[in-house]
Amino acid sequence: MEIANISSRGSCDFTSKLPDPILHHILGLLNPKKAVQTCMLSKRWEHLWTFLPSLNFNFHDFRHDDDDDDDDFFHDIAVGRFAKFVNTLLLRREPFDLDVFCLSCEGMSLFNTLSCEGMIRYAVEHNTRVLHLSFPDSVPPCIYTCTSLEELYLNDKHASNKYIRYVKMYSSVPIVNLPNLRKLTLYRWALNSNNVKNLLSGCTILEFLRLDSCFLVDCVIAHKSLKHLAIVNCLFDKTQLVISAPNLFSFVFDENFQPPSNTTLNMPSLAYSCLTTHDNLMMKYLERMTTNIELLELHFKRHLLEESTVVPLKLPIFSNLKNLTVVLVTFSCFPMVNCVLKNSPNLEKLTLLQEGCLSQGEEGASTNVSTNVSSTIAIFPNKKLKIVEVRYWKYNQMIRQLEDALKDVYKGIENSEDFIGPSSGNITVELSF
Amino acid sequence: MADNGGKKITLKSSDGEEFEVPEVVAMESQTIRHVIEDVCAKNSIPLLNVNSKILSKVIEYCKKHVAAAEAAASKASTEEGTAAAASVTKPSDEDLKTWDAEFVKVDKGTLFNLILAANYLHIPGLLDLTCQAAADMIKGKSAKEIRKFFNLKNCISPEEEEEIRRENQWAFEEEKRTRAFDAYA
Repeated sequence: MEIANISSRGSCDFTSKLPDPILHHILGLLNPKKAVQTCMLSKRWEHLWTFLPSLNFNFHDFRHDDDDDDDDFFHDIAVGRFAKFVNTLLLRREPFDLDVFCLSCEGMSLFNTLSCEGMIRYAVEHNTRVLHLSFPDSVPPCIYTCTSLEELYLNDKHASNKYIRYVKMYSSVPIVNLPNLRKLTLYRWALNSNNVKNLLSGCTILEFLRLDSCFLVDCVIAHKSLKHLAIVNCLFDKTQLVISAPNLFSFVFDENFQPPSNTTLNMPSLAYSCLTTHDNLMMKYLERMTTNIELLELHFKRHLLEESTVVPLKLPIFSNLKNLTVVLVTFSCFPMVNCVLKNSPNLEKLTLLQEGCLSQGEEGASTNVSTNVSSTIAIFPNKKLKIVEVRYWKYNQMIRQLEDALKDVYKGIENSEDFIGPSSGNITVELSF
Repeated sequence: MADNGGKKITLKSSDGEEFEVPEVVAMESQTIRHVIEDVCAKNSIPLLNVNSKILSKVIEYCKKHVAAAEAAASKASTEEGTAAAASVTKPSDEDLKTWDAEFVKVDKGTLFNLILAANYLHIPGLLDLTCQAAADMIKGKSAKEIRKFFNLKNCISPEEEEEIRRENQWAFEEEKRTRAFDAYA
């Protein structure tokens, strides 16, 4: 067997030893125009691009930066150029199945998107495995019966909230038959109980669902095989939210405006959850949290009231909870956190982050905490706790109080240097009982 | 943690050097996995297509990714889980990405040999990473620069080149506003 070994020195052609499929793969990672232009490189490269397995078309690349968005004339010319390039490429491409097809029509006015429907049909006819569409207005219904699809991303970036509310709300999803779809992401969609049901019932093996910046009215998410659910930045209009997913493993809830008035959660297999919300909703969700949860992340949003009333939560015992992470805004989050700590007898790792930590020191509410906060922070001493980590970007009163509270609870820590932090940093306490 | 008395396997490079690695690390390669699973009781696997320098890099990649996967598993979050979450525990993902970016900062010859090895050993993550690195290297370059970069022998005559260009004129249209009308031609 010939040993394939490419030397950096010498004048040999680097690509001569790379088999064609690898070059096709590399070409698929380039801008499609660039990929086609490689036809000029050498005899071998002349037709390589016709075997592109992945296509990624972006209308934005065909516009000039200084184009006036309202200037119809140049906009239409850009549409013409875009359509010509894409359609010629699709025509000359070798007619084999696609792996990934991405099409972004952002910046294209609604009337011009008809020309893009043909492009989407090409993808469906060539049994694409992955489809990413950033498309104004309704997508062509052929995608809903593209049985080869495993991953679908639909972005309706042009829809304004008003448009969604009064027009899209009533458009129903046609027959859906996506038996191979595992991953679905909807961005800026309007979903009511009907179209959610139609969508989900047609995706029998769906595992991953992400709803981002959607408008959800009376949303019922019921699915047998769903493993990962993320609802991020959505608007509920104070309607109800029902989630019934017996195999759900992870649940991310990042609030969201006009939160649901009523939430029913049925996720018996849930192991991981990340909740970002206001105190009141956080309480509700914690009370409904699955008892088998193993890893929990709570991000308290900026809290609107001066001081929240400390209502003892009726929490179940989280006997499997090993790892708890909390992003703190003010001291007032603490009674709730303490409730969770008390109900987590087997907790091994606790991480406390100061809000703003993740965004590299953005000003958060924590810096404006009034000094009139109620009691000092009390930290419940969990017996099985192995490590406590506190991360902060600004050493303020809250962090100092946290330090004191940790010292109170975990006496006998030899290395007090653990607690002396610079203006930003970590306090890590490794415990051994 | 991967070395906890787990079964070890020996990989032999084309130039005779032997590398002892935990079986779970070696199994990152689908090729090796099939050899182990189908042709049982193999203690030493010869890899005729990979020299020692490249093999040691490949092993480095596999060790790092196995360790990262184990760390993620202990947090009860799968790769998909962290993808679904806007998670603060993500730093480990960022660390891995940074590590990967450093890993592919190598000379052209090594990069292409890594691509070949990833392909031969069937390690999808490494293949994706190295192909992306190669694509990034040619992204901003002109045809002439790419030819130089790849050491391509230009065996096309100027007439042939002109003909290819004419056939694919639609891909070479400049984006300048002055030529806007040509686009409609």
